[in-house]
Order: sequence, then C-alpha cells, then structure tokens
Amino acid sequence: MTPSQYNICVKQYADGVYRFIMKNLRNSDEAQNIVQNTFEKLWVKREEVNFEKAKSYIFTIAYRNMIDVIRASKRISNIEDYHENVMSASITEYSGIKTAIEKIVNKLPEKQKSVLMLRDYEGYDYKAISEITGMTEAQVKINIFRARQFIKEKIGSINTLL
Amino acid sequence: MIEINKENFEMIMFDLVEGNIGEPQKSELLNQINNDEFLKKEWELMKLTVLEVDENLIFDNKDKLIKSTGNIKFFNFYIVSSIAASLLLLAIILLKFNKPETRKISIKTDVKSKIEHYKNIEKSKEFLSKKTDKFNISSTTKSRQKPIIKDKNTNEITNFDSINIFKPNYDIIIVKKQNIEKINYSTIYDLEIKETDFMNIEKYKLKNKSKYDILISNTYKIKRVWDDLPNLKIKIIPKVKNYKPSIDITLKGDIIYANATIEIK
Repeated sequence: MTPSQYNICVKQYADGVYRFIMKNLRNSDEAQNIVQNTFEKLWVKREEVNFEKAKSYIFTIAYRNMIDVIRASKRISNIEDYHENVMSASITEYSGIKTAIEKIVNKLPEKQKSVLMLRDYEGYDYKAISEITGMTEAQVKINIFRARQFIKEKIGSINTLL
Repeated sequence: MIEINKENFEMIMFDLVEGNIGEPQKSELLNQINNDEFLKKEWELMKLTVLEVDENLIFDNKDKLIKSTGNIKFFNFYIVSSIAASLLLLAIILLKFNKPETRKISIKTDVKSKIEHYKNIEKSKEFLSKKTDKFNISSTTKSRQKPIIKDKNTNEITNFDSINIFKPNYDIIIVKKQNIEKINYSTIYDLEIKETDFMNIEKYKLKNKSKYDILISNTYKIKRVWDDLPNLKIKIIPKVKNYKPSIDITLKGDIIYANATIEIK
C-alpha cells in the first residue's frame, strides 16, 4: 500500500471504525485512541497490507484492540451479571423506539454486539466478520441470529406493555 | 416453495432480514407474512433489529492521521505549479484594479527574516480593523516563542497565539519571497525559527471596497487548488505602494508553509 492509499483509507474508514468502537465501548476517548492506534499500525505495516484488503485489516486491528481494552477494564460481564442486567432493565427508561433499541443493543454480550454492528454498520458478510473476529462463519451467523432474536423479543415485550 | 409458519418463522425471518433469501422466494414469503397477523407483527419487529448507522458519529481527527506522501520531487513540482497558477490568477484580478485613488493606500512591509511567522487571515483582519495607525509585530527570541503585537500608541502588548504550524517529522516547504518569475523553494526538516522578523503596518485603506471583496473571494478559488492539503489556511494582503500594486500571499498548512510576493508590472 502506498502512502496515498493509506491516506485514502483514513478518509474512507476512520469514521466507520470510530463509529463501530464508539458504539461498542460508549467511550469517546477510548474509541479515539483505538482509531489512532489502528491507523498507526496500518502505517507501520502499510507495505505488507494489500490496499484491497485494507478495510478488513483496519477493522481486525481495531476489533482486537477493543477486546483488549474491554478485558483490561474488566467490562466483560459474566453470564450471570449479563442476565441480571437484562432482567433489571427498566421498561420505563425507554423513550422512543430508537433509544430503546440502542439500550437493548448495549445489553447484548460483546460478541453479539460486535458481529451485529459489523454486519449492519459495515455490511460485512459472515466470512469477512469471521476473519475480523476470529470466529467461524457458523458462530458469526448464530451470534447475529441470537442478537436479533434478543432485540426483537425485548422490543416485543415493550410494545406489549405499552 | 417454502411455507412459513409459527414453527419456522424465526429462522426464515432472520434469513429474510439478512438478505440470505433470493428474490422470487422472498416475494412469496412476504406475501404469506402479510396475510397472517401474527407473522406480520413478528416481521415488523424483526425489521427493527437492523441497526441504523449513526451518521453524526464521526472521527474528528482524521487530519492527524493523514501522512505526507513523501514524494518531494512531485510535491515541489505540485507546489510550484500550484503557486504559479494561483498567483497568475491573482495577478489577472489585480491588473483589473483601478489605479489607486489615494496615496493613503499603503501597507509597508519590512521583513527582515526570510521565514516569516505565520499570521492567519482572521488575525490580519483583526489588527487591520483596529483604529490605531501603527502596530509593531515582533518576535525577538531565537526559539519558537510566539511573537507579540505591540501597539505603538498605547504600548499594549498582545500575544499572537495562532502559531502552531511547525510539526516535527513533517516536510515543510518554504517558498522564499520572490517575484512570480522566480519562485525559489527549499525543503527543510523540523523547522526552527532562528531569525527575528518585524512587520510594520500603516493604516490600511482601500476606498474601492468591492474590489477588495472580489480579491478576497478569489482566495477561495485558490483554496480549492490546494484543497487536499491538511489544515490549509491562506493569507492574502493586497498592497499598493508608490502606485504599484502588488500582493503578498501566505499559505500555511500541516505540511506546507509558502510565502510569496507578486509585483504587478
């Protein structure tokens, strides 16, 4: 990849990476750091990275970096905590369907949230997501399926109560 | 033909929303869904699970990630030809100016250093708009300390805080002050300002304000020529000295500092 192609990558993908990390971590400073680190790594490795595969490379680096940050800050809740959080999510705090969906998405386990975002925000297919996350294609699909089912059920329950 | 029902609707709707089902089958399934209240409701909920991109979330520091292409030869050629084109455009505009209507139209510039400190266009406007007749802008230190503006009448000193342009590790291009026929340039690294520079500005008047506005509006045309340079700012000062019009142009960005004077003959 040439320096010019690197600059094109910055212009084309920096927003997408930032959005992906920001939506996952909900921390602007950490998201900015990860984007910065990701592109620094891309710059260092630019001669080894094929321009056509740069987007996938960028998201892979950013995703791994994000997982490290999450682990370091112990943000990954265990399953019990996760279910507790979900169950205790108050229906009354939802105002508007978009806000409600956002809050429900934030309750998803990290893996489900990440694959769903890569799928919907970036339009990646299962194979590309599996390359970025290190999951198998089947795992990617099942995680997206579970994420959608979870969101659907939660919205359904809100609708029923309202 | 696939039949969708209460036993298999979750997986089929998932495949539908994921785009895993081709067009003929998709239409048939959607027909079935629309004819069943339960399935219709489930499908409406399923569609809500597709996340919408939040376009308001953008990464603001892209400029900091952009790198110099490092092709000095090409870059110099690009800069020189761009400056030449820009200045030629300005020359044409300036030649259309009426002759100066008063001797009071003057800006005296006394630049002792070949490397001028950067003063952005807003700052220029700010001190040009002040009523005081004379200002003395000076920087008397050897390092990168900010220059100050000293009002000769009141002795009031103001810091010039717009200077933040010289970043280490960037190539900085200097176009030395020359006539248009002879633009020299050089490339330096990690610029240190070691010389002192002064600029005395007398009361600035242009009676024909519309001409000045035209000139300023044309700076945006020049800006378009340089649009891909990060954080580019342009300062243009039209001058009339002894009935000879000329123009000072300063271009400043993360990877460029260009300074030139064109005299209209």
